[in-house]
Amino acid sequence: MKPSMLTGDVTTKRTFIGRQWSILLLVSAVFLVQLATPLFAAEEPAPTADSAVTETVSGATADEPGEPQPAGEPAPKLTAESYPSFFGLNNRLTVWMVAQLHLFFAAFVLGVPIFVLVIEGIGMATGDVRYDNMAREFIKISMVAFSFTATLGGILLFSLIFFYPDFTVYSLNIFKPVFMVYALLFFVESICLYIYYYGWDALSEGNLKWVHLTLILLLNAAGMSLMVLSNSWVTFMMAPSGVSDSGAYLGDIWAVVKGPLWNPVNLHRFIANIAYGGSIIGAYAAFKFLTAKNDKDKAHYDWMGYTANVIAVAGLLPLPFAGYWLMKEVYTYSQQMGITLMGGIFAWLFIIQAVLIGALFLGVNYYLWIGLGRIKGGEKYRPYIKYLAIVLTGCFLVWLTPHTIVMTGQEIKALGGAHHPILGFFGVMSAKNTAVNLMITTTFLSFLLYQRAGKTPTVSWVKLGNAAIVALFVAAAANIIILGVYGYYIPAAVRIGLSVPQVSTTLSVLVLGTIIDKIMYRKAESLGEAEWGKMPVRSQYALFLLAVSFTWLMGLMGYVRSGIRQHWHVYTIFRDYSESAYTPTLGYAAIYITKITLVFLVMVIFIFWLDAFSKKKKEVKA
Amino acid sequence: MGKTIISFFGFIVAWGIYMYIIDNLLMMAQGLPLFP
Repeated sequence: MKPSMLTGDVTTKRTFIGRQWSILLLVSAVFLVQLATPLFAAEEPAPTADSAVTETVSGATADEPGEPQPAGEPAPKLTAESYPSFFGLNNRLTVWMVAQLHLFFAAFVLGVPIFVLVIEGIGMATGDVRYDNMAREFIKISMVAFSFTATLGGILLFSLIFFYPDFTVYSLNIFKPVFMVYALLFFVESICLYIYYYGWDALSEGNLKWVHLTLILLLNAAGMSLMVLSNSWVTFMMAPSGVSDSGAYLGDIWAVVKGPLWNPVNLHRFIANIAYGGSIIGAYAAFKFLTAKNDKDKAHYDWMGYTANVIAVAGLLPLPFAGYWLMKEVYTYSQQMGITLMGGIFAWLFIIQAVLIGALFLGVNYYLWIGLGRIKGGEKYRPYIKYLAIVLTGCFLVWLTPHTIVMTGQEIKALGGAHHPILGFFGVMSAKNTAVNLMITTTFLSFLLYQRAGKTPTVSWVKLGNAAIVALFVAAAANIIILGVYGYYIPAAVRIGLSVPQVSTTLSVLVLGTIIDKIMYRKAESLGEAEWGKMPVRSQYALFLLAVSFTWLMGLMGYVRSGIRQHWHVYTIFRDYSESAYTPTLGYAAIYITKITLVFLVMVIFIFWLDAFSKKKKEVKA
Repeated sequence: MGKTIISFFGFIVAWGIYMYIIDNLLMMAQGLPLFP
């Protein structure tokens, strides 16, 4: 047999297998999409907690004649003795630590496959093998994180059974069908992950590459479905639906899952996972960059760090808007809950959040500005950096100015009232919306300058194009500021509506700016390839800053989201009678979250070390 | 140079009108009063 014939046979066989796989995967994809479709069905009017306190939560009262009878038991009334203690461990602190660690890893392993799909797709479309290698490295890092997520999920379940047995039984009874689907999806996700990772070489040619890409798509579909299902458990605890006012299940699981806060949390977590995954991968790249022993590795990990940073920024920019939607829905559900969040006991955490988000924006921009140094021609944009820094810092200061703070009588006297005569103006939402929109626009400008550096446009309308882009930024900034100032002169109900045109202005800049810039630089002359690896060490610390800030931020705001239930397991229907049902002081909570963050970072460093360790063994063998 | 400056201000006006219209449409969609 001629070798060519042999090759031909093998190719035919592989293509045939590829087709079979494709059909199988297509059928599975259709199945998963069908499974997920009801999750995104049209919204129904959301119930509100304010009415729920006196009436029912779901809008249906089991006690009224003609209404559906409860299919489940009401929420049990507990005592302090209903919460067992194990080895002297505190119920809340243990579950808090485990749940938060599980969530950190879960966010990471849900975020990474999203951009691995995109990066592998780019690699396929461009034929650039670097993208393929990078996607592979990303998923390789996540492999250990996947098993950590699953292990921590198991520990979380056991902790809940140990420490909160009645609450766990109550939840399991309501969410029984969801748990079944969840377990099935978990199985599907694991299978996809293993075939995807271990089949990278076997599924690398021709149609088989499409099969490989389909696998990561399926992995994402399963992962997203897992996320939205588990989101329903926490949103049910915050804003219960589908149960009577005594907490008895009414028999419609869809009514329970699709609570008023479910979709806002789904969107917020989806975007945040992308940003978070990007930031942790960025920290990995920085770690590898700093420990790289040759220029080739340095260049590779610099490029990886840059890409991870772009991903983190892409997630970070729309995140505040998703956050606003969630807050808006919280207010719609229960004004009391919203006020406790933003104006009450939790308000200070929002100030810390503002500081951390500000630090994220500064870190991202700082990294981009230093990055100009690795591009020939980047120096022409350097004089503009100081202006961008001034705008960012100014907005940052407005963004973190508190509206009201807890003060002693002496402090109020020294300040001349509850609000500072000048700074008081910056404490309200009009100023904050303006600040955050300007910060996003400025970050986009930094990114645009970075993209332009190293290229000379060849189109005849360069000046006209530049004039259009500069005018776009100027007009947008003016519009955002005018809307912000206008907000001070109108009633609160109208003022809230102003945030919509402000956001749309920012989005217009992002979209129109990108379109004009892309067309202008379509056939641009390159001044030379970016000199990857030519980055000072301090730039890598900016990447670490992003990962740490994101982690801390998630811990703090996750606590706020969960803590807002106060002394309720399930808000307004299932009371927490444990010894730790009270809301801890903010300092105590913040320190505990910091400890959790440190534990997580140690685990992440372990994963990074494991990666380096496995390579060491290989080198010895070679 | 002069032409660029003129076109720059032209663009400012154009973007300004565009944003003014979009702002008002979005306020209208929310059932809120329009801008003066």
